[in-house]
Amino acid sequence: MTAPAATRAPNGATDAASASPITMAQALNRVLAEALASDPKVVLVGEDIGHAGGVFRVTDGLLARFGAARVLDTPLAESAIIGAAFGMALTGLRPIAEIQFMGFLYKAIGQLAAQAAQVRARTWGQVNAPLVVRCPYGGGVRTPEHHADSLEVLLAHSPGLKVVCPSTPADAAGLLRSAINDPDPVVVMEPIRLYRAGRELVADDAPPVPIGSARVRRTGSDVTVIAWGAMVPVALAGAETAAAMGIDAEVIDLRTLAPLDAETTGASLEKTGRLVVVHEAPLTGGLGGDVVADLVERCFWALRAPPRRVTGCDVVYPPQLLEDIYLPDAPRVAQAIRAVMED
Amino acid sequence: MPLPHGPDPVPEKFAACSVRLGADPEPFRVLDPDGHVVGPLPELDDATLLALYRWMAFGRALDGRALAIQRQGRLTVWAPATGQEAALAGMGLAMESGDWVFTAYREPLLLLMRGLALEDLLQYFRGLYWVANPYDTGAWPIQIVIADQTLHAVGAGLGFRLQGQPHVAVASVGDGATSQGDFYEAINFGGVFGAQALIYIQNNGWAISTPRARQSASQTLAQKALAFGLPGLLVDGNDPLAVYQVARHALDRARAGEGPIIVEALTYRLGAHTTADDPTRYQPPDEIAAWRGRDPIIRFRRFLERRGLWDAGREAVLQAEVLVEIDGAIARAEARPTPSFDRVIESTWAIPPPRLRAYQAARHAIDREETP
Ligand SMILES: Cc1ncc(C[n+]2csc(CCOP(=O)(O)OP(=O)(O)O)c2C)c(N)n1
Ligand SMILES: [Mg+2]
Repeated sequence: MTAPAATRAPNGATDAASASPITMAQALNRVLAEALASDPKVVLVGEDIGHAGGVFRVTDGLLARFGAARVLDTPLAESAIIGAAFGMALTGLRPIAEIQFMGFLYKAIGQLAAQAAQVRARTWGQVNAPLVVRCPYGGGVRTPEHHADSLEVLLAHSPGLKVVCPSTPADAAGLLRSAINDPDPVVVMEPIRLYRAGRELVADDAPPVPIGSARVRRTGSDVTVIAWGAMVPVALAGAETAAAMGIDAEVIDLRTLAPLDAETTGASLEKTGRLVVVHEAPLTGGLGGDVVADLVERCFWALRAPPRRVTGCDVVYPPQLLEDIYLPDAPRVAQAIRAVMED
Repeated sequence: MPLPHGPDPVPEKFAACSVRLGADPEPFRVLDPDGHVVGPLPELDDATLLALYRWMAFGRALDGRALAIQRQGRLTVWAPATGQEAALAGMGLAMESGDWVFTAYREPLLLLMRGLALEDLLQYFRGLYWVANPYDTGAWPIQIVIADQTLHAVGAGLGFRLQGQPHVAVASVGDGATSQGDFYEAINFGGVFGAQALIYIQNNGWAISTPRARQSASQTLAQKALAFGLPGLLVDGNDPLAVYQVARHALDRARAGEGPIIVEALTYRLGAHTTADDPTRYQPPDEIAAWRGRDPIIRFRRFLERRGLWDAGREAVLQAEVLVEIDGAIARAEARPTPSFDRVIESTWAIPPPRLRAYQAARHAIDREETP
């Protein structure tokens, strides 16, 4: 079912496709196709990823192109998907599992956090599990209950796991490439809200985005604003509002949530002395607390005001008619930026 | 508490639809697809038969209206049960007041039959939490996480048993749900503890794009009962009179403390998975066409017509009536004010923690600023 590699561009994409701007969903699809084409060990597993092409169409066309031995539509069982993908990884395959919505990762968290993530440690480094788990995550698109969670904290708190979270098509491609190349389990959190929110040119030969590297999305001198995933555009919009008030905010897209890029965030805070962290998960125990604590510990003497967090509040993710009130938005970010300037 | 010791012999009339090793069960059936009587009729009077038909017609009409208003953005999502009306209404009729039911999202008809008000149900699909109190009707909030409710029903059925209460908890799940670990853990617990529960699988052929054959290598889903020491019964899910009788038997047995039965209803999802789905990508048209020929509503209507209980005139009246009823409920649901965000804050914990209170206060301050 797979066309001979020679008839395709090196990474499996056609030149025409790469010349036009694409969405994040398309960028991910392209990298998956490229991985399937270039490495016979890569196998996709997940619910509805084959004939349906995934509920977000990220795996669209891959079953037809690579066949049922490479793209496995699984029974409906998240724990089995992760646990079996882990077992497959032990045999030398490079499974890329999809959990249809991040809320369903709860069903598989034991296999991911207690098993796949720990095998290296439990064998004194002799065994590794090259496993990628892709999870659409986050709210703002009127999904039903349990379809809007941001569970990065469960993962970042699980030693042995790496967690990446892109906010642009090019970063999605670059981070997924790195995740696939990584010898250990990596979770890719894909912001549902950004799958089709914008397009950009994604070069076929763009290098992987290294895991653990944040990206400065807007340079500024007054305040450091740190965000990830779907909150990056929100933070950027908040920074623009603040700019109209004469405040020059620097916006950092964390891109990797575990391990954190201490260098980029620290350098920015040393420059600005003021910090705002934005995330859509609840406040209590949120990753924002860890980001702030890390920076306070390292850059305490650079601080000119207490850091602030703009986050979801400590409630169960609200139903669709009320979710916009819950989600951080540009005005709230702008308000926090103004507040740290005034503190 | 005595343990049930393996499957009891089932009543003679269910012998052929009962799963056994080395034998192919025949789904229990009363009506053939044309509505001819081919099996034992239940003892139901004419008024009850007509009420059963009305519910099925109501379910079909509700799907039509819900899909239409979802397209207008008035519901966030809808999962049509078109084709599954007999499987839902037969179960709904068999349950008794005081029984509980834990369902997924495709069973509004079953919930409504248990007494849930349509306007309350619609609030959920309009984008709110569950507004009805489950204790009023025994209709528990729709479960989105596939198969989780199987354990809840088994636990509730155990709670009934331990407290000597004469109720049964029904878990209603799809074929896809039978792949989850929680499903097996539930039927195992149910067997060991003799829970007053019924495990009801509506096998509608599909779990989004995954066909039944790719969900499990086992020939039937009901036969999974065997490994757990439970009886498993197969029923024609498009035959309301068959579903009713099998459900009745399983409910009676569970109520008597003899443990759960797994009932697999063979039916078919004639519509899309939900309004967010495109089944043309995967569902074979000829399969759909074949199942359209086994439409449960047509089957039951023909049966009623042959008994002189139904005709085109009554059908027209009924169709008009149910639409008025549905549209009235939609209007009442839409007229209700959207709860404020404070309600979310007040209901996450019985007493909101100080930090959440602080958030609420800050929020109110912003609202005051924004609305002078
Ligand atoms: C734990 C979990 N995984 C995945 C999903 C996404 N999902 C929603 S419905 C569905 C298919 C369910 O199929 P089935 O149990 O047969 O019920 P049906 O939709 O056919 O009524 C899936 C995979 C979910 N809601 N919960
Ligand atoms: Mg199904």
